[in-house]
Amino acid sequence: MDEEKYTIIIIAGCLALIFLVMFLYVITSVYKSRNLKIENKLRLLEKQKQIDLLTAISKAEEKQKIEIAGQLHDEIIPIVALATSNLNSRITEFEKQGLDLSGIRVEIKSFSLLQENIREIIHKIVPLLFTSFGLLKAIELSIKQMNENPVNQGVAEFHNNTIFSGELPFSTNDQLTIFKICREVLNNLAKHSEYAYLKVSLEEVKDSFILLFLHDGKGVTNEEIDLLEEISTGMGLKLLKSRLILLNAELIYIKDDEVSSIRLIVPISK
Amino acid sequence: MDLERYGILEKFSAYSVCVPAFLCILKFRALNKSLWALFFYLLLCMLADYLSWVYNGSNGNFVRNGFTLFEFIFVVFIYYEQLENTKLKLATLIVSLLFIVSCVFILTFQKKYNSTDTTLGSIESAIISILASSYLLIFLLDPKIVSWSKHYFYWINLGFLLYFSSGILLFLTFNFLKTCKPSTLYLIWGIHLLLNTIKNVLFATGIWMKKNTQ
Repeated sequence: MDEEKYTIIIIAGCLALIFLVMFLYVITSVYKSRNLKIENKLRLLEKQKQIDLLTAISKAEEKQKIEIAGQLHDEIIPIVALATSNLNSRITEFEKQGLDLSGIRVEIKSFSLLQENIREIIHKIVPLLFTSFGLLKAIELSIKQMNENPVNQGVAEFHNNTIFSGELPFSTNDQLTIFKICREVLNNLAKHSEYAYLKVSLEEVKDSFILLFLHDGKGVTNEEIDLLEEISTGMGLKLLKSRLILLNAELIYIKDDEVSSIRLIVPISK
Repeated sequence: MDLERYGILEKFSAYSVCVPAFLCILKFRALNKSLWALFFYLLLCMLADYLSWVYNGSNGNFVRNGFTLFEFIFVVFIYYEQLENTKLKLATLIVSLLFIVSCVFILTFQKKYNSTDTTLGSIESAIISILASSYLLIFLLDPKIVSWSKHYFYWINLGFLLYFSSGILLFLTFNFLKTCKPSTLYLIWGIHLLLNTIKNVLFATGIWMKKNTQ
Protein backbone atom coordinates (compact mmCIF):
# COMPACT_ATOMS: atom_id res chain seq x y z
CA MET A 1 0.00 0.00 0.00
CA ASP A 2 2.85 2.30 0.97
CA GLU A 3 4.66 1.55 -2.26
CA GLU A 4 1.54 2.24 -4.26
CA LYS A 5 0.97 5.50 -2.43
CA TYR A 6 4.56 6.61 -2.96
CA THR A 7 4.43 5.62 -6.60
CA ILE A 8 1.34 7.72 -7.15
CA ILE A 9 2.93 10.66 -5.32
CA ILE A 10 6.10 10.39 -7.42
CA ILE A 11 4.22 10.12 -10.70
CA ALA A 12 1.84 12.93 -9.73
CA GLY A 13 4.82 15.06 -8.64
CA CYS A 14 6.60 14.42 -11.94
CA LEU A 15 3.49 15.23 -13.93
CA ALA A 16 2.89 18.35 -11.84
CA LEU A 17 6.42 19.53 -12.50
CA ILE A 18 6.08 18.83 -16.24
CA PHE A 19 2.76 20.66 -16.24
CA LEU A 20 4.33 23.59 -14.38
CA VAL A 21 7.19 23.82 -16.88
CA MET A 22 4.81 23.67 -19.82
CA PHE A 23 2.54 26.25 -18.17
CA LEU A 24 5.50 28.59 -17.64
CA TYR A 25 6.52 28.15 -21.25
CA VAL A 26 3.01 28.80 -22.54
CA ILE A 27 2.74 31.92 -20.37
CA THR A 28 6.12 33.14 -21.67
CA SER A 29 5.14 32.49 -25.27
CA VAL A 30 1.78 34.23 -24.91
CA TYR A 31 3.39 37.21 -23.19
CA LYS A 32 6.09 37.46 -25.86
CA SER A 33 3.55 37.15 -28.69
CA ARG A 34 1.38 39.87 -27.17
CA ASN A 35 4.38 42.17 -26.75
CA LEU A 36 5.42 41.46 -30.31
CA LYS A 37 1.96 42.34 -31.61
CA ILE A 38 1.94 45.63 -29.67
CA GLU A 39 5.46 46.48 -30.87
CA ASN A 40 4.55 45.71 -34.47
CA LYS A 41 1.43 47.85 -34.21
CA LEU A 42 3.44 50.73 -32.78
CA ARG A 43 6.11 50.34 -35.45
CA LEU A 44 3.43 50.33 -38.15
CA LEU A 45 1.80 53.45 -36.70
CA GLU A 46 5.17 55.18 -36.53
CA LYS A 47 5.91 54.23 -40.14
CA GLN A 48 2.47 55.39 -41.26
CA LYS A 49 3.02 58.68 -39.44
CA GLN A 50 6.36 59.14 -41.23
CA ILE A 51 4.79 58.30 -44.60
CA ASP A 52 1.93 60.74 -43.96
CA LEU A 53 4.40 63.45 -43.02
CA LEU A 54 6.58 62.77 -46.06
CA THR A 55 3.53 62.68 -48.33
CA ALA A 56 2.28 65.99 -46.94
CA ILE A 57 5.71 67.60 -47.37
CA SER A 58 6.10 66.25 -50.91
CA LYS A 59 2.60 67.36 -51.87
CA ALA A 60 3.21 70.84 -50.46
CA GLU A 61 6.55 71.05 -52.29
CA GLU A 62 5.03 69.92 -55.59
CA LYS A 63 2.14 72.37 -55.17
CA GLN A 64 4.55 75.20 -54.39
CA LYS A 65 6.70 74.33 -57.41
CA ILE A 66 3.66 74.35 -59.70
CA GLU A 67 2.55 77.67 -58.22
CA ILE A 68 6.00 79.16 -58.79
CA ALA A 69 5.99 77.84 -62.35
CA GLY A 70 2.53 79.35 -62.90
CA GLN A 71 3.58 82.70 -61.49
CA LEU A 72 6.72 82.72 -63.60
CA HIS A 73 4.70 81.87 -66.68
CA ASP A 74 1.75 84.19 -66.08
CA GLU A 75 3.39 87.13 -64.33
CA ILE A 76 7.15 87.36 -64.82
CA ILE A 77 7.42 86.39 -68.50
CA PRO A 78 4.76 88.97 -69.63
CA ILE A 79 6.51 91.69 -67.59
CA VAL A 80 9.88 90.86 -69.14
CA ALA A 81 8.33 90.59 -72.63
CA LEU A 82 6.50 93.92 -72.23
CA ALA A 83 9.60 95.64 -70.88
CA THR A 84 11.66 94.33 -73.83
CA SER A 85 9.04 95.50 -76.33
CA ASN A 86 8.75 98.96 -74.73
CA LEU A 87 12.51 99.38 -74.59
CA ASN A 88 12.80 98.37 -78.25
CA SER A 89 10.13 100.97 -79.25
CA ARG A 90 11.84 103.69 -77.21
CA ILE A 91 15.24 102.83 -78.70
CA THR A 92 13.72 103.00 -82.21
CA GLU A 93 12.32 106.48 -81.37
CA PHE A 94 15.72 107.63 -80.05
CA GLU A 95 17.49 106.19 -83.10
CA LYS A 96 15.13 108.22 -85.37
CA GLN A 97 16.38 111.32 -83.54
CA GLY A 98 19.92 110.35 -84.60
CA LEU A 99 21.20 108.72 -81.42
CA ASP A 100 23.32 105.57 -81.66
CA LEU A 101 21.89 103.07 -79.16
CA SER A 102 23.09 99.86 -80.84
CA GLY A 103 25.01 98.93 -77.65
CA ILE A 104 21.81 99.04 -75.60
CA ARG A 105 19.95 97.04 -78.29
CA VAL A 106 22.54 94.26 -77.88
CA GLU A 107 22.02 94.34 -74.12
CA ILE A 108 18.25 94.04 -74.64
CA LYS A 109 18.82 90.69 -76.35
CA SER A 110 19.79 89.33 -72.96
CA PHE A 111 16.18 89.96 -71.90
CA SER A 112 15.06 87.47 -74.56
CA LEU A 113 17.61 85.04 -73.17
CA LEU A 114 16.16 85.63 -69.69
CA GLN A 115 12.68 84.77 -71.00
CA GLU A 116 14.02 81.55 -72.53
CA ASN A 117 15.72 80.61 -69.27
CA ILE A 118 12.55 81.21 -67.28
CA ARG A 119 10.62 79.01 -69.76
CA GLU A 120 13.20 76.25 -69.36
CA ILE A 121 12.82 76.43 -65.57
CA ILE A 122 9.03 76.21 -65.93
CA HIS A 123 9.33 73.17 -68.19
CA LYS A 124 11.60 71.45 -65.73
CA ILE A 125 8.94 71.87 -63.06
CA VAL A 126 5.98 71.12 -65.32
CA PRO A 127 7.28 69.33 -68.43
CA LEU A 128 6.10 70.81 -71.69
CA LEU A 129 5.39 67.38 -73.15
CA PHE A 130 3.11 66.58 -70.24
CA THR A 131 1.18 69.87 -70.29
CA SER A 132 0.81 69.75 -74.06
CA PHE A 133 -0.05 66.10 -74.67
CA GLY A 134 -1.01 64.40 -71.38
CA LEU A 135 0.68 61.47 -69.62
CA LEU A 136 0.54 58.65 -72.18
CA LYS A 137 1.52 60.71 -75.20
CA ALA A 138 4.23 62.42 -73.12
CA ILE A 139 5.75 59.02 -72.25
CA GLU A 140 5.58 57.98 -75.90
CA LEU A 141 7.22 61.20 -77.05
CA SER A 142 9.89 60.97 -74.34
CA ILE A 143 10.80 57.53 -75.69
CA LYS A 144 10.86 58.93 -79.24
CA GLN A 145 13.18 61.70 -78.07
CA MET A 146 15.44 59.07 -76.48
CA ASN A 147 15.65 57.22 -79.82
CA GLU A 148 16.51 60.46 -81.62
CA ASN A 149 19.25 61.32 -79.11
CA PRO A 150 22.58 60.34 -80.78
CA VAL A 151 24.10 59.51 -77.37
CA ASN A 152 21.66 56.61 -76.99
CA GLN A 153 22.73 53.63 -79.10
CA GLY A 154 19.73 51.44 -78.31
CA VAL A 155 16.18 51.34 -79.63
CA ALA A 156 13.19 51.95 -77.40
CA GLU A 157 9.51 51.20 -78.05
CA PHE A 158 6.26 52.04 -76.29
CA HIS A 159 3.17 49.80 -76.20
CA ASN A 160 -0.12 50.65 -74.58
CA ASN A 161 -1.83 47.35 -73.66
CA THR A 162 -4.68 48.97 -71.77
CA ILE A 163 -7.99 50.50 -72.71
CA PHE A 164 -6.71 53.89 -71.57
CA SER A 165 -6.03 56.43 -74.29
CA GLY A 166 -6.65 59.94 -73.02
CA GLU A 167 -8.62 59.83 -69.76
CA LEU A 168 -6.69 58.28 -66.89
CA PRO A 169 -8.04 57.42 -63.43
CA PHE A 170 -5.56 59.77 -61.71
CA SER A 171 -5.53 63.43 -60.78
CA THR A 172 -3.35 65.75 -62.92
CA ASN A 173 -0.83 66.02 -60.08
CA ASP A 174 -0.60 62.24 -59.76
CA GLN A 175 -0.19 61.90 -63.53
CA LEU A 176 2.61 64.47 -63.39
CA THR A 177 4.29 62.47 -60.61
CA ILE A 178 3.95 59.26 -62.68
CA PHE A 179 5.49 61.06 -65.65
CA LYS A 180 8.40 62.31 -63.53
CA ILE A 181 9.04 58.79 -62.18
CA CYS A 182 8.86 57.40 -65.71
CA ARG A 183 11.28 60.05 -67.02
CA GLU A 184 13.71 59.37 -64.15
CA VAL A 185 13.62 55.62 -64.85
CA LEU A 186 14.15 56.22 -68.58
CA ASN A 187 17.09 58.56 -67.84
CA ASN A 188 18.65 56.01 -65.50
CA LEU A 189 18.24 53.25 -68.09
CA ALA A 190 19.78 55.42 -70.82
CA LYS A 191 22.70 56.36 -68.56
CA HIS A 192 23.53 53.06 -66.87
CA SER A 193 21.96 50.01 -68.51
CA GLU A 194 23.58 50.13 -71.99
CA TYR A 195 20.54 48.48 -73.50
CA ALA A 196 20.26 47.62 -77.20
CA TYR A 197 16.49 47.22 -76.99
CA LEU A 198 14.05 48.70 -74.51
CA LYS A 199 10.33 47.98 -74.47
CA VAL A 200 8.09 50.12 -72.32
CA SER A 201 4.60 48.76 -72.00
CA LEU A 202 1.57 49.94 -70.12
CA GLU A 203 -0.54 47.27 -68.44
CA GLU A 204 -3.60 47.28 -66.21
CA VAL A 205 -3.71 44.42 -63.72
CA LYS A 206 -6.09 44.14 -60.77
CA ASP A 207 -6.80 47.82 -60.16
CA SER A 208 -3.20 48.78 -60.78
CA PHE A 209 -1.57 50.87 -63.42
CA ILE A 210 1.63 49.09 -64.44
CA LEU A 211 4.48 50.43 -66.52
CA LEU A 212 6.88 47.70 -67.46
CA PHE A 213 10.39 48.52 -68.67
CA LEU A 214 11.95 45.43 -70.29
CA HIS A 215 15.51 45.72 -71.57
CA ASP A 216 18.49 43.60 -72.57
CA GLY A 217 21.08 45.76 -70.82
CA LYS A 218 22.63 45.63 -67.37
CA GLY A 219 19.96 45.01 -64.75
CA VAL A 220 19.82 45.76 -61.05
CA THR A 221 18.04 44.20 -58.12
CA ASN A 222 15.94 45.91 -55.44
CA GLU A 223 18.73 45.29 -52.91
CA GLU A 224 21.31 46.94 -55.17
CA ILE A 225 19.04 49.96 -55.65
CA ASP A 226 18.53 50.26 -51.88
CA LEU A 227 22.28 50.17 -51.38
CA LEU A 228 22.84 52.73 -54.16
CA GLU A 229 20.24 55.00 -52.61
CA GLU A 230 22.04 54.79 -49.28
CA ILE A 231 25.55 55.49 -50.55
CA SER A 232 24.67 57.89 -53.36
CA THR A 233 25.08 61.62 -52.73
CA GLY A 234 22.77 62.48 -55.66
CA MET A 235 19.10 63.26 -55.21
CA GLY A 236 17.72 61.21 -58.15
CA LEU A 237 16.97 57.97 -56.33
CA LYS A 238 15.81 59.74 -53.18
CA LEU A 239 13.39 61.90 -55.18
CA LEU A 240 12.20 58.79 -56.96
CA LYS A 241 11.46 57.13 -53.63
CA SER A 242 9.57 60.13 -52.27
CA ARG A 243 7.47 60.25 -55.45
CA LEU A 244 6.68 56.56 -55.07
CA ILE A 245 5.53 57.16 -51.50
CA LEU A 246 3.40 60.03 -52.73
CA LEU A 247 1.55 57.68 -55.08
CA ASN A 248 1.64 54.69 -52.75
CA ALA A 249 3.37 53.01 -55.68
CA GLU A 250 6.32 50.63 -55.93
CA LEU A 251 9.19 50.00 -58.29
CA ILE A 252 10.34 46.41 -58.61
CA TYR A 253 13.74 45.79 -60.13
CA ILE A 254 14.47 42.33 -61.54
CA LYS A 255 17.90 41.39 -62.83
CA ASP A 256 18.43 38.64 -65.34
CA ASP A 257 21.19 37.58 -67.70
CA GLU A 258 19.11 38.07 -70.82
CA VAL A 259 16.15 40.35 -70.06
CA SER A 260 15.98 42.56 -66.99
CA SER A 261 12.97 44.56 -65.97
CA ILE A 262 11.68 47.44 -63.91
CA ARG A 263 8.03 47.37 -62.96
CA LEU A 264 6.27 50.50 -61.78
CA ILE A 265 3.03 49.60 -60.02
CA VAL A 266 0.62 52.43 -59.17
CA PRO A 267 -2.62 51.45 -57.42
CA ILE A 268 -5.62 53.01 -59.14
CA SER A 269 -7.73 53.26 -55.97
CA LYS A 270 -5.25 54.79 -53.56
CA MET B 1 5.13 -1.60 -17.34
CA ASP B 2 6.85 -4.86 -18.22
CA LEU B 3 10.54 -5.39 -18.89
CA GLU B 4 10.06 -5.77 -22.64
CA ARG B 5 8.36 -2.38 -23.04
CA TYR B 6 10.86 -0.78 -20.69
CA GLY B 7 13.71 -2.23 -22.75
CA ILE B 8 12.26 -0.73 -25.95
CA LEU B 9 11.85 2.64 -24.25
CA GLU B 10 15.39 2.45 -22.87
CA LYS B 11 16.82 1.75 -26.32
CA PHE B 12 14.68 4.47 -27.89
CA SER B 13 15.86 6.95 -25.26
CA ALA B 14 19.51 5.95 -25.69
CA TYR B 15 19.41 6.19 -29.49
CA SER B 16 17.45 9.45 -29.51
CA VAL B 17 20.61 11.26 -28.46
CA CYS B 18 22.03 10.52 -31.92
CA VAL B 19 19.51 12.90 -33.57
CA PRO B 20 20.73 16.19 -32.02
CA ALA B 21 24.35 14.96 -32.18
CA PHE B 22 23.99 14.28 -35.91
CA LEU B 23 22.38 17.71 -36.42
CA CYS B 24 25.34 19.30 -34.60
CA ILE B 25 27.68 17.68 -37.11
CA LEU B 26 25.44 18.74 -39.99
CA LYS B 27 25.26 22.35 -38.83
CA PHE B 28 28.77 22.59 -37.37
CA ARG B 29 29.36 25.97 -39.04
CA ALA B 30 26.50 27.49 -37.08
CA LEU B 31 27.64 26.16 -33.71
CA ASN B 32 28.66 28.64 -31.04
CA LYS B 33 30.45 27.81 -27.78
CA SER B 34 27.18 26.77 -26.09
CA LEU B 35 26.25 24.41 -28.90
CA TRP B 36 29.74 22.91 -29.03
CA ALA B 37 29.38 22.24 -25.30
CA LEU B 38 25.96 20.73 -26.00
CA PHE B 39 27.51 18.53 -28.68
CA PHE B 40 30.15 17.23 -26.25
CA TYR B 41 27.44 16.75 -23.64
CA LEU B 42 25.52 14.59 -26.11
CA LEU B 43 28.67 12.58 -26.80
CA LEU B 44 29.07 12.18 -23.03
CA CYS B 45 25.48 10.87 -22.84
CA MET B 46 26.29 8.30 -25.53
CA LEU B 47 29.46 7.26 -23.70
CA ALA B 48 27.60 7.02 -20.37
CA ASP B 49 24.90 4.86 -21.92
CA TYR B 50 27.54 2.59 -23.44
CA LEU B 51 29.54 2.34 -20.20
CA SER B 52 26.36 1.68 -18.18
CA TRP B 53 25.64 -1.20 -20.51
CA VAL B 54 29.25 -2.53 -20.22
CA TYR B 55 29.58 -2.02 -16.44
CA ASN B 56 26.14 -3.23 -15.47
CA GLY B 57 25.61 -3.81 -11.77
CA SER B 58 27.50 -2.22 -8.89
CA ASN B 59 30.14 -0.71 -11.20
CA GLY B 60 27.30 1.18 -12.86
CA ASN B 61 27.31 3.58 -9.87
CA PHE B 62 30.83 4.66 -10.75
CA VAL B 63 29.70 5.53 -14.28
CA ARG B 64 26.53 7.26 -13.01
CA ASN B 65 28.39 9.39 -10.45
CA GLY B 66 31.04 10.39 -12.97
CA PHE B 67 28.36 11.22 -15.50
CA THR B 68 26.55 13.44 -12.95
CA LEU B 69 29.72 15.47 -12.38
CA PHE B 70 30.61 15.92 -16.07
CA GLU B 71 27.00 16.49 -17.10
CA PHE B 72 26.81 19.29 -14.58
CA ILE B 73 30.02 20.89 -15.88
CA PHE B 74 28.83 20.83 -19.50
CA VAL B 75 25.31 22.09 -18.78
CA VAL B 76 26.52 24.88 -16.51
CA PHE B 77 29.05 25.90 -19.17
CA ILE B 78 26.19 26.10 -21.73
CA TYR B 79 24.21 28.43 -19.45
CA TYR B 80 27.30 30.39 -18.45
CA GLU B 81 27.86 31.15 -22.15
CA GLN B 82 24.23 32.10 -22.67
CA LEU B 83 23.98 34.47 -19.72
CA GLU B 84 24.92 38.10 -20.38
CA ASN B 85 24.45 39.55 -16.91
CA THR B 86 27.83 39.64 -15.09
CA LYS B 87 26.31 39.19 -11.62
CA LEU B 88 24.32 36.16 -12.71
CA LYS B 89 27.41 34.72 -14.37
CA LEU B 90 29.42 35.18 -11.18
CA ALA B 91 26.67 33.60 -9.07
CA THR B 92 26.50 30.65 -11.47
CA LEU B 93 30.25 30.26 -11.33
CA ILE B 94 30.38 30.31 -7.51
CA VAL B 95 27.51 27.84 -7.08
CA SER B 96 28.98 25.56 -9.73
CA LEU B 97 32.45 25.58 -8.19
CA LEU B 98 30.97 24.80 -4.78
CA PHE B 99 29.03 21.90 -6.25
CA ILE B 100 32.00 20.56 -8.21
CA VAL B 101 34.32 20.76 -5.19
CA SER B 102 31.78 19.01 -2.95
CA CYS B 103 31.17 16.44 -5.64
CA VAL B 104 34.88 15.68 -6.01
CA PHE B 105 35.25 15.59 -2.22
CA ILE B 106 32.35 13.20 -1.72
CA LEU B 107 33.26 10.93 -4.61
CA THR B 108 37.01 10.73 -4.00
CA PHE B 109 37.91 11.57 -0.40
CA GLN B 110 34.84 9.95 1.08
CA LYS B 111 35.35 7.09 -1.43
CA LYS B 112 31.70 7.10 -2.46
CA TYR B 113 32.47 6.96 -6.16
CA ASN B 114 31.07 3.47 -6.43
CA SER B 115 28.08 3.87 -4.15
CA THR B 116 24.57 5.01 -4.95
CA ASP B 117 24.36 8.73 -4.34
CA THR B 118 20.99 10.41 -4.66
CA THR B 119 21.92 13.76 -3.12
CA LEU B 120 24.37 14.84 -5.81
CA GLY B 121 21.96 14.02 -8.64
CA SER B 122 19.13 15.87 -6.90
CA ILE B 123 21.24 18.96 -6.18
CA GLU B 124 22.54 18.91 -9.75
CA SER B 125 18.97 18.75 -11.08
CA ALA B 126 17.86 21.53 -8.73
CA ILE B 127 20.72 23.86 -9.76
CA ILE B 128 20.13 23.26 -13.47
CA SER B 129 16.36 23.71 -13.04
CA ILE B 130 16.97 27.06 -11.31
CA LEU B 131 19.36 28.06 -14.11
CA ALA B 132 16.82 27.06 -16.77
CA SER B 133 14.01 28.93 -14.98
CA SER B 134 16.24 32.02 -14.67
CA TYR B 135 16.98 31.83 -18.36
CA LEU B 136 13.26 31.60 -19.07
CA LEU B 137 12.75 34.79 -17.07
CA ILE B 138 15.60 36.53 -18.91
CA PHE B 139 14.11 35.31 -22.16
CA LEU B 140 10.75 36.75 -21.15
CA LEU B 141 12.17 40.15 -20.31
CA ASP B 142 14.78 40.46 -23.07
CA PRO B 143 13.42 42.87 -25.69
CA LYS B 144 16.13 41.79 -28.17
CA ILE B 145 14.52 38.35 -28.49
CA VAL B 146 11.57 39.11 -30.72
CA SER B 147 10.75 35.90 -32.52
CA TRP B 148 10.73 33.56 -29.53
CA SER B 149 9.80 30.35 -31.32
CA LYS B 150 12.65 30.81 -33.79
CA HIS B 151 15.24 31.36 -31.09
CA TYR B 152 17.33 28.21 -30.82
CA PHE B 153 17.93 28.33 -27.08
CA TYR B 154 14.20 28.57 -26.35
CA TRP B 155 13.88 24.89 -27.31
CA ILE B 156 17.12 23.76 -25.70
CA ASN B 157 16.16 25.47 -22.43
CA LEU B 158 12.74 23.78 -22.51
CA GLY B 159 14.52 20.43 -22.93
CA PHE B 160 16.75 21.03 -19.91
CA LEU B 161 13.90 22.40 -17.78
CA LEU B 162 11.59 19.47 -18.49
CA TYR B 163 14.26 16.83 -17.96
CA PHE B 164 15.92 18.19 -14.83
CA SER B 165 12.83 19.52 -13.01
CA SER B 166 11.22 16.09 -13.10
CA GLY B 167 14.65 14.59 -12.39
CA ILE B 168 14.82 16.23 -8.93
CA LEU B 169 11.95 14.12 -7.69
CA LEU B 170 13.20 10.92 -9.31
CA PHE B 171 16.75 11.26 -7.99
CA LEU B 172 15.47 12.13 -4.49
CA THR B 173 13.39 8.98 -4.40
CA PHE B 174 16.02 6.80 -6.05
CA ASN B 175 16.59 4.72 -2.88
CA PHE B 176 12.88 4.07 -2.60
CA LEU B 177 12.66 3.16 -6.28
CA LYS B 178 15.32 0.49 -5.81
CA THR B 179 13.10 -1.26 -3.28
CA CYS B 180 9.99 -1.10 -5.47
CA LYS B 181 8.46 -3.87 -7.53
CA PRO B 182 10.06 -4.06 -11.00
CA SER B 183 6.82 -2.96 -12.67
CA THR B 184 6.69 0.21 -10.53
CA LEU B 185 10.37 0.91 -11.11
CA TYR B 186 9.95 0.49 -14.87
CA LEU B 187 6.91 2.74 -14.89
CA ILE B 188 8.54 5.60 -12.99
CA TRP B 189 11.91 5.26 -14.68
CA GLY B 190 10.02 4.99 -17.98
CA ILE B 191 8.76 8.56 -17.45
CA HIS B 192 12.37 9.65 -17.04
CA LEU B 193 13.37 7.87 -20.27
CA LEU B 194 10.43 9.41 -22.09
CA LEU B 195 11.45 12.85 -20.88
CA ASN B 196 15.02 12.14 -21.99
CA THR B 197 13.70 11.36 -25.48
CA ILE B 198 11.60 14.55 -25.49
CA LYS B 199 14.65 16.49 -24.30
CA ASN B 200 16.69 15.15 -27.24
CA VAL B 201 13.91 16.03 -29.69
CA LEU B 202 13.82 19.57 -28.26
CA PHE B 203 17.61 19.80 -28.53
CA ALA B 204 17.37 18.71 -32.16
CA THR B 205 14.71 21.39 -32.80
CA GLY B 206 16.91 24.04 -31.19
CA ILE B 207 20.00 23.03 -33.16
CA TRP B 208 17.94 22.99 -36.36
CA MET B 209 16.73 26.54 -35.59
CA LYS B 210 20.24 27.86 -35.11
CA LYS B 211 21.27 30.20 -37.86
CA ASN B 212 24.80 31.39 -38.56
CA THR B 213 23.96 34.93 -37.47
CA GLN B 214 21.86 34.14 -34.40
